[in-house]
Amino acid sequence: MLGNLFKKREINPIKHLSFESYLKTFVDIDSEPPKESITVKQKLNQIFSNSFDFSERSFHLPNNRPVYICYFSALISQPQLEESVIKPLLHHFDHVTTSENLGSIITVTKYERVTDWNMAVQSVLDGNILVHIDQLDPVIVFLAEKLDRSPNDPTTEYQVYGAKFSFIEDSRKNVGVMRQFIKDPRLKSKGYDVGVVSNTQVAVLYLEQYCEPKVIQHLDQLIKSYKKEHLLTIGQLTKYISKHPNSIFPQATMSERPDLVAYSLIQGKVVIFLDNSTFCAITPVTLMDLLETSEDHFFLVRWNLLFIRILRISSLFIGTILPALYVALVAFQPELIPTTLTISVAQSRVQIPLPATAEAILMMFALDVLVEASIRLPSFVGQTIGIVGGLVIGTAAVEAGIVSHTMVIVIAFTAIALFTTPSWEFVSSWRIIRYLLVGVSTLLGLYGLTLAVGFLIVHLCKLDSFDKPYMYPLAPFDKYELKRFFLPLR
Amino acid sequence: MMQKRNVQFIILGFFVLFLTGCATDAREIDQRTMILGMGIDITEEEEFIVTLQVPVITPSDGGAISANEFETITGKGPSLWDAISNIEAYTPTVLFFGHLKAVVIGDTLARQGLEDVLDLLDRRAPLANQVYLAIIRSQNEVDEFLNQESRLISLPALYLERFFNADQKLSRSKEVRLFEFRRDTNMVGNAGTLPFAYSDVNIVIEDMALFHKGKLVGEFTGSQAGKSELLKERKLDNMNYTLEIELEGVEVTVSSRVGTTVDIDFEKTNPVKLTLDVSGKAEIVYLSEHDFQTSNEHLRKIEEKIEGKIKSDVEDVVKKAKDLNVEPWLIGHHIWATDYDYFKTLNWDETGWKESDITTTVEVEIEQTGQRGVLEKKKLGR
Amino acid sequence: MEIQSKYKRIGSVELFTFTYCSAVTLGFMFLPYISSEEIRSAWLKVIVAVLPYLLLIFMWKKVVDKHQNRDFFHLFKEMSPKWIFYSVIFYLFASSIYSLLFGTKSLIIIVQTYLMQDTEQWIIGSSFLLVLFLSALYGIHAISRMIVVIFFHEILLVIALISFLFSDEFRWINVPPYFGVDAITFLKSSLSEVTRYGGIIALFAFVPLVKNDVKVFKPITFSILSIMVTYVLICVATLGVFGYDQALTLLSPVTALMQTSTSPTGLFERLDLFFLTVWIISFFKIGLIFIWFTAFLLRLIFPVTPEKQGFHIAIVTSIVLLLTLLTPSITNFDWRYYNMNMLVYALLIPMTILAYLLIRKKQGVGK
Repeated sequence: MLGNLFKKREINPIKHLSFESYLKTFVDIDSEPPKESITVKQKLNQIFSNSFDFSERSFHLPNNRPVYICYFSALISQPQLEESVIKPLLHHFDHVTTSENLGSIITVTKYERVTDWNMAVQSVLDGNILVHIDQLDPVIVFLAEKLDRSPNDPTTEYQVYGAKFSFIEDSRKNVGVMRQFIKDPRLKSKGYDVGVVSNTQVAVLYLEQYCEPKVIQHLDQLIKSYKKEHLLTIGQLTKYISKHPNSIFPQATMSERPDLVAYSLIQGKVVIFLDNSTFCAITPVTLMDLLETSEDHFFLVRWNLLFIRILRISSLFIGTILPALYVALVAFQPELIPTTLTISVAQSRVQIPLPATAEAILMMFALDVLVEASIRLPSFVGQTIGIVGGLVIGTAAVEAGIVSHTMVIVIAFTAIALFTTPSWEFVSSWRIIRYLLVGVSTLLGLYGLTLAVGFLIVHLCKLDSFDKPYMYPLAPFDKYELKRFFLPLR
Repeated sequence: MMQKRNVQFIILGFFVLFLTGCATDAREIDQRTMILGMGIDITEEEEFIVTLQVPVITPSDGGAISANEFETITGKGPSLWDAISNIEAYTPTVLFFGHLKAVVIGDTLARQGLEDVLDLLDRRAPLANQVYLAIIRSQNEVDEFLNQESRLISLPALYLERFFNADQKLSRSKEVRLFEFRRDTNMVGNAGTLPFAYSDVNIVIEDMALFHKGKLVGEFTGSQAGKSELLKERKLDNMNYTLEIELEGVEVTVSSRVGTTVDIDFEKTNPVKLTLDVSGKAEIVYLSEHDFQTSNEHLRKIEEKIEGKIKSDVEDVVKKAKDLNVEPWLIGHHIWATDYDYFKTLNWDETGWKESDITTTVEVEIEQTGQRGVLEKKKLGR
Repeated sequence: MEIQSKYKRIGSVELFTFTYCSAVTLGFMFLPYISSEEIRSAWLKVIVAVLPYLLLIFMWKKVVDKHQNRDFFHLFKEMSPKWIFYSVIFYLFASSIYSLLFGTKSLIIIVQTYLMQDTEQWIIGSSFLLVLFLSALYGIHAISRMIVVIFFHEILLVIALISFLFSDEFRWINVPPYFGVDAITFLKSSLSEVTRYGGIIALFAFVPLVKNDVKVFKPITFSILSIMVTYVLICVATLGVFGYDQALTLLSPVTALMQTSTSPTGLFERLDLFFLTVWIISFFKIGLIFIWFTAFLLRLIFPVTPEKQGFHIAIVTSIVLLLTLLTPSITNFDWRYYNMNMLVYALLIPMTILAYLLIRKKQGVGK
């Protein structure tokens, strides 16, 4: 089944010129660059024309041998270039005889002889330095110093106990972080350069013997078959590797917390890091996984964990079904509501011009608008939005007689309940379902709602992420896993 | 795979469009006239009078739920359903029976028979099986009763519901719900009981009406109602007895609370010989002489007195039922279920019950002489 | 290529729930006193009625032991003349369409009576079938998983039933076994109860999907016995609360039973409507099982590739939909024909085939 999917994807045609074909207009990419530094300089100037940050330096050694150095100025460490390359060259110019013995002169950790044009250009783009001493092979000196920062507090996944530490934008460094968490030779990492234009570095991390080898194999094939121009966000990749891309539920999850990632690795999952993204993708995931946080394991008392998990699951149900249930009960089956409550609901609704459905959709929409708005705004404005929105939508709407008290309570509780779920993406999926369920309730009441929930469950049962069923361990039923989820052993 | 999913959504979309406007059952709460209580009676011209009690829904101000005001609407018609549909013309919105709590039935109608009422109530599915039934004493008109405003709870229907739900610790009446009444009248005895209710200043619920074959034939008043309940449920808690008793030459008033169970046995003779073994656990709640020594001997005396009282009460209620030739306590059903062949020889309906030979034995044990204080301790010295 | 085939397996839990859900729905809804003539102690009949099915399962086990093949229909096809095979399968197909039709009609009646009095029957029926169709497209693995996921419904129901045994309204005096009729009448009226277990015929198609290392017959037998226990509970509880005469007149005794209880939590005023949603889900499950089973039978007649199974499901659903719309609504159930047919289809035919397969093998060895 996966194979089919994979085939379909592979025949995606590449519409635009690739990086290689652009290069071909200037040089023969597979051939070795010439030994004359002036030719190399000319060619490179053509290739990198109209790039002001492309820096080069030509000078002559005291024995009059021309040297050509080029790099992108923002990507390298200039003091190191001076200290480790230029200074030694000027001091020991008489030892420069072959490109092989350069190693005993320049004091850098790594350098490599350029074998072809493609490599030369690629390496310069990666932030390395091309050093060409006339009549020798050009070499690449690995002195890239990319713009990065030190790890900060996680900004999206707040926790009480968890480590105050999150990933940064460099996939290699993130892998390094994971090495600190899991010191085991079985922690394997695979690197890829994906995207024809963006050439983004992708790292796949997994624990051998914990992870199913077939998952790795498939992931390997899928990532290699990614032939789009660019890969800038982790979402593009997860959408691509998902087996059911049209489903409303995410089949991978994202995290910026190394502790969660470490925990996932030990559970046998695969983690995908992407350059320029502080989030990594974790796959395969199940519904239960999306309700877990790494912090759950910080609890000293196992019953707390049990309580939290039950709380999340019930909140998920409440947050999804409550508005629809309210609409169904108010409009179709009021006999289900306790009598005194019915009277108070009727009292609160008596001057409301809108039917319950319209009320519900209006409130839910307003709520989602508020959420969206407060995300985009800087935090100080965001808070204002929260307060103003809450006041306006809540009190004013009730007083104006647009919505009823009970509806405000229902929607407010719904919203809060759903946000107990740790995964934001997952919350968004359920938000959409909430609207759909309200729609169905409007048409067919409790009966329709029941059928819709039934269909939803079949859909969830059908889903799988890398063939791991979404509802596992509930279905297929696995009592040990289920017990582990709710009440892990000591 | 993807195409199939698309097809699914297209079909679903079409269907949703198709369905819009078909939701005929969608009626908001405020578009329904919620009926909480229903009163049914019959006039001398054989016309049904139906009174519906509906809460008046006024907008709540700033969250505080205003007091439950209510309105009663009365309609007449040649049949019950006609009377109800006539009422529909008086209300702005559709009548909604889903929250019906209690149906009260007039004395006149009850004497004529409840079949019509029960059939209607049974056939309407939105109506719960658990509505309470009550008979209104002839001193009140049904609509008058439903219009009565209790100072405790304004809606009489809710009053009835709360009264019964609270499982009041009185043994003068017992809630009977629709299905229970149906069930009891379907049993071999064809008899059932319903509570009586009336209003003077307050709403009063006491005594039980006795039905045979759907018709009101008699009533159990006061402690009879309690004893009837004991025989029917084979168990009754919280019967109150206040007795005058002479102990060591002193007239003492004792109040006690007795919880009893009864065991009914029969011997296969003709007419049937029944033994009612009542056993109870009593608790003294009041003793007129504070410092009276409640010795075992005294307790024994009090027990004997209570036993005698219970025995006479039980015999009294049995006699009343025998006089009416109605047996609402499922004794006949018990015999019927245990030994059908024997039951057939009894001719239960005609003579079997009337002529049955009933012995009552009562045994009461005082378990507690006061819940909090040990009031009978003797002082020594000054 | 499949990864991690360990998740694809159907285990004993799935088998248990599948068996349970494939039979229990209609019984749940309408027991006791389904046929028009009834004796008092219906719960006795339910116990008697399970025996033929235990025999059926036993025979099946014997056949599997002999032939070392769990695929009943495959064996049948291999070992019998073509025209017999096709006519039997066609009969089974027609019967399972009939029972689907009957199930849909019962659902319509229940929903219309208790939930939506004013909604037209075709809306209820077609929306049900539409959702069934869409869900059935997801395939048997999703269906069997879904049954496991919402099995807690059934557990909830059984707990509710047990709690009724301890309620105030319940009276043991109504329950004791009572034989007012001779043995023949008793057995005759038990026949209608036999059909209450008929749904397990879908197992013949389901069991071949179970992995070979899973024990099959133990969970099935256990499940059938659980169904029996559930039925007995229903009968005893309704009889105890309502008594014979009233229970006889109820459309859905269990719903009426739930109506008698007031919710202890006060969350829902009327528990019966809450339980109605449980029953709708229950109908949904059995509907899914039978849509799948009927499509499976159709596939035996007109084989297609697995990708095209959707067509068969569509055909089956549209037949049922058409029949539902075209046949008059059943206000008063006449269960007789349905019961008779169910008896032949779910019990006699499979038993005959199994007996034939048992004999057939022996002849083969003899030669």
